[in-house]
Amino acid sequence: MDLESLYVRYGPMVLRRCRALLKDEELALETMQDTFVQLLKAGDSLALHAPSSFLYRTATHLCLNHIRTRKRHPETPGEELLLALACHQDLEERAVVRQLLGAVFGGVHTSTATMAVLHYVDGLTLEEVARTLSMSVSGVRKRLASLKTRVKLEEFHDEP
Amino acid sequence: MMNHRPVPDLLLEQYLLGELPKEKAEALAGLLAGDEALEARLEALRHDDEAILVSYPPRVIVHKIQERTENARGNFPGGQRMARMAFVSLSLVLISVVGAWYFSRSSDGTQEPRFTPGNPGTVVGTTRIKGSDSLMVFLKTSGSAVRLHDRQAVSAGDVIELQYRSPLKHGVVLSVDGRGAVTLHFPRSPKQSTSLAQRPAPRAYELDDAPRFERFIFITSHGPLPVEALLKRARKAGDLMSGDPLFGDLPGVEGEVSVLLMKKQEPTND
Repeated sequence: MDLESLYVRYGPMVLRRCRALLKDEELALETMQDTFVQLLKAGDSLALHAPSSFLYRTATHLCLNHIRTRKRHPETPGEELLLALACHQDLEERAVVRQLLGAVFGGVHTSTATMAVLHYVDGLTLEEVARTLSMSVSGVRKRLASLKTRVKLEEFHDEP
Repeated sequence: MMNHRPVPDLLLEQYLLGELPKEKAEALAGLLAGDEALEARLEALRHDDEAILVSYPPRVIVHKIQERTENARGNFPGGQRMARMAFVSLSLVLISVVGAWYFSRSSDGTQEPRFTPGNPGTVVGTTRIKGSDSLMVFLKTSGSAVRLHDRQAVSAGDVIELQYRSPLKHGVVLSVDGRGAVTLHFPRSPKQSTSLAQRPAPRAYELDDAPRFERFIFITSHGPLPVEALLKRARKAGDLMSGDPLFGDLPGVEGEVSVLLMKKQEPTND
């Protein structure tokens, strides 16, 4: 499939993903283009075998990079960064997401961050996350458990 | 499994793309059948697909992606960048010299250029095709819609849906099958307006048993199109499987895109 066909088929999905995470049309558009750059770089690998999963997780990854940069150098004063991601309705779960993603942006491996967003924000099951990331369910479970442990540790150290 | 939680966006996106595993697609189709809100989300995605591709036309975005890809590849260390620039400059000089030699040789009558303005060998219609016109054909299966691409196989009885868009104001959608039968999809009749602002909601069509192929064609224009003339041209067209433009030389026609679907050969009982 050529680039134009790939864009026509997957571009809207990728842009919607970037819009949802970034809440910034211009940045979302740029990130969408960068997502396709990554697809081209990946060439004939597994990326082209399952483009929607590859593009979705790559877009998520790139959006997290932008969000992390914003946290270090806030562009919009008072912007609640994590709330932009935590689009889930349930307040209790959103609190969990804030804790998890707070740790993610502190330096947890990016693919684990993507995993956390897919599972805790987007509501995918472990099996669905595993399929999207081309990983085993046990691998995903282990990584998320590790992430939770780190969050608890960091919370403990943050206590006065 | 999906009954007790909101369907995640990714699953809905993959369902629309036809990339959800069969089991999950069937489960989601079942949910869609009894959930108007979920069906509305799916329909909103379809409409948003169209809106995004109109707002950000493929030709423009593809160019930007290619530029970004080149820029990403061009991040060489200083010495390599200089060498690359020198190579590009040298290539441009060589192309100019060779080009000048080629056309000067042609102009003295020793050999005709392969393409010149007005040369009958040039396909006029292709120069008018707008990259941002788009015609999409979807195969509908048990609540799902899978995008069909050029030369994909279909069968008699398959139900398809057409979606089309253009930055131009007028358009005509028609199809020609392997028997040469021409069907007008938009407008509904030759006497109706070709204004795309008046196009109806997407409709589903069931493919009949015509052999070999079905070619769907979207013709666009700034002004009203002569539907009868287009139908007449389609009926008289010769090789419709080549994909060559059919209408590029008709007055007012600005763009033409088509999707050719190949008909599967049904087994015979002979």
